[in-house]
Amino acid sequence: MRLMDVFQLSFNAFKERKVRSALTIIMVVIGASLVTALRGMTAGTYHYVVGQFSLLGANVIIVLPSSPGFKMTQGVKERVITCSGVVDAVPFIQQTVLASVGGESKRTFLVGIEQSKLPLIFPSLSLEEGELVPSHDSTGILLGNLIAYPTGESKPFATYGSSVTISYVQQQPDGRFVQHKKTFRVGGVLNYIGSSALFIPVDRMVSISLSAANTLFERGGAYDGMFLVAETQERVEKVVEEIRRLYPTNVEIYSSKTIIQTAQNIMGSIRMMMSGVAVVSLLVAAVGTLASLYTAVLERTKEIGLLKALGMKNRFLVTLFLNEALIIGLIGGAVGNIAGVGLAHILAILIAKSREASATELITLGYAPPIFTVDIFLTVLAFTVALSVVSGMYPAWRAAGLDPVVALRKE
Amino acid sequence: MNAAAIAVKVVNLHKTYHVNGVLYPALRGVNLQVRRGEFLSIMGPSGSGKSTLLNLIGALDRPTGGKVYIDGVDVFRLKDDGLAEFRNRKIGFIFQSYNLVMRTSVLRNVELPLTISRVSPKNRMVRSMEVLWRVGLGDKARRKPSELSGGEQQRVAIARAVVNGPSIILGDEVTGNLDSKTGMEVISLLKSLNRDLNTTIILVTHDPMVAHATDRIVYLRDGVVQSEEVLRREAM
Repeated sequence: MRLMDVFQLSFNAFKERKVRSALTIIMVVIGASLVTALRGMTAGTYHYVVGQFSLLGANVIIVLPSSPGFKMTQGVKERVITCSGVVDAVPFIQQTVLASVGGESKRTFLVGIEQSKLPLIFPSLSLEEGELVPSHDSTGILLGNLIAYPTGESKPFATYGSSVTISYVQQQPDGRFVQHKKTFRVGGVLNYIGSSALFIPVDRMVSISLSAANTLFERGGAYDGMFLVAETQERVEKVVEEIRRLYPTNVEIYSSKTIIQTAQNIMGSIRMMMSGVAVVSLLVAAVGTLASLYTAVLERTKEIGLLKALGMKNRFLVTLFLNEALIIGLIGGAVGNIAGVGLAHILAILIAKSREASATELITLGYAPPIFTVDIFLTVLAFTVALSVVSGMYPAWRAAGLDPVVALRKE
Repeated sequence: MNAAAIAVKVVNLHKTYHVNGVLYPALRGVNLQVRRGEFLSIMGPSGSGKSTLLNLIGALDRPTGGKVYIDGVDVFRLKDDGLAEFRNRKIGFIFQSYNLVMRTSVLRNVELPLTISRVSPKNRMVRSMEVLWRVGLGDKARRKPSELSGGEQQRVAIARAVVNGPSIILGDEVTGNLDSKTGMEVISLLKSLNRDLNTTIILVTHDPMVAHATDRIVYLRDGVVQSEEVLRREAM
């Protein structure tokens, strides 16, 4: 029998049970689209996260206190700055606050830092208007681009020269809550640098001088962390080792490299988990395909008997049913790929939106556009087709094994 | 009778079925010869082994013992693939319930044996149309079988059985689903094919009218040939 004829026979049979074929294909489409979407999203998110952290200077190290009793003070700064290979140490204070301009308020992330050092830490940083707030200035405030010009809003939240009132609530030792308030004047607005996921989300922060933050938050000289600037990227590891030796238990140390590695590990685990979910859904689709084809064999028992009586060889009967599985896999995989691209974009937007609501967190995720490569599509298609064909094997084998006399007698 | 003149030779054929551990002997040593071009009918009560015999002659099943020669070939020496090819080339089946593929056209149904034997699409259409005109359904080739009457559907099945030019046509209760007038029309069609194409035809039937239209009746009882009735001399 010619393969073309076998293909035509199976396609006709496939068309005959349109609804069931369509439902089976939908199951495969769901499974395949999930795999495609998740792979595209993890690739996109990874690219995004790595991109975010690469905004941080490659020679920058972040040191954060890790034990409650340990205070990161000027003393620590003076000690670490003497380590060989360290060019500068830039302490910072950070806190979530409410920023109000006129009647409008928004929760944001405030960073107290010596602003003249910001370009050392974020090499791509620049000013859109105004200037950086000098370290002795206790009333100037610098705005991240997305704070001054929020996405999707026609008028700016604040511009150069605006008055911004910063307030936060602090619990007293006696349990009472006290609100602290101070008004600042916008001294500068930063250009958009595309950073929203760092320890300091530059585009979404407001920043005042370190001393102003120390006073406002009543920190008594304790910092929330410190950026160390190494001489070169190559010196980073040596510096990390030395700091670890100096403070073996009291600090956590991150460099661009370790952050990217951590991100890679986290993304790896997420990817594994998501792939598990997607593969399970594909397996469900495979069982669906098996059930659908098995039912087809039962329904067409008499026809199979006839084909055998007319002289069709077993291998062509097997091919006939495997062909149907192949059609299901091909259509399901192809449509699943297309649906997966759409699904990934929708999910990425939804995730970005849900994260926007909590944009004051230390690490936030913005919109990470999914990334698709040809190999994602091909792997999903190949996997779907292979799984469908494997699912079709048992029904095909059953069809070939039917006794023609018994099959022809079936009513 | 000269060997070349024998289309079917059945020698001491046995068939025993195992049902739930119990043995049912359906055939218990059948011997039979069918002349090339003969129109033979097999009669007998239910359970006498008629259909089993027909299925074995048609190589749809394998016997427990004995041999079947078709055109001199010891059929059951063939392996499964060889047997399938043999059925395709040598045997045409006609069933009581027509067994047409309902989703496709009359023409495609008739083409099926040719499709299986790799005849090119153009040739199989030409040959199928010839046969369809021969059975009087040339103008209904594009219809679906469900649009035809029972008698017409059986004629489609006959066209499908002869399209590959088989040596033998086997029919199991071919008039069982038809009224007697249509049934006899189908039998006359078979007779004319038998006469014009010199095809050997073996029918299993319950209907004495059908049986008496053939050249010879073989009576089976309890899995053996009980008697024969020759209706036309040339059958011998």
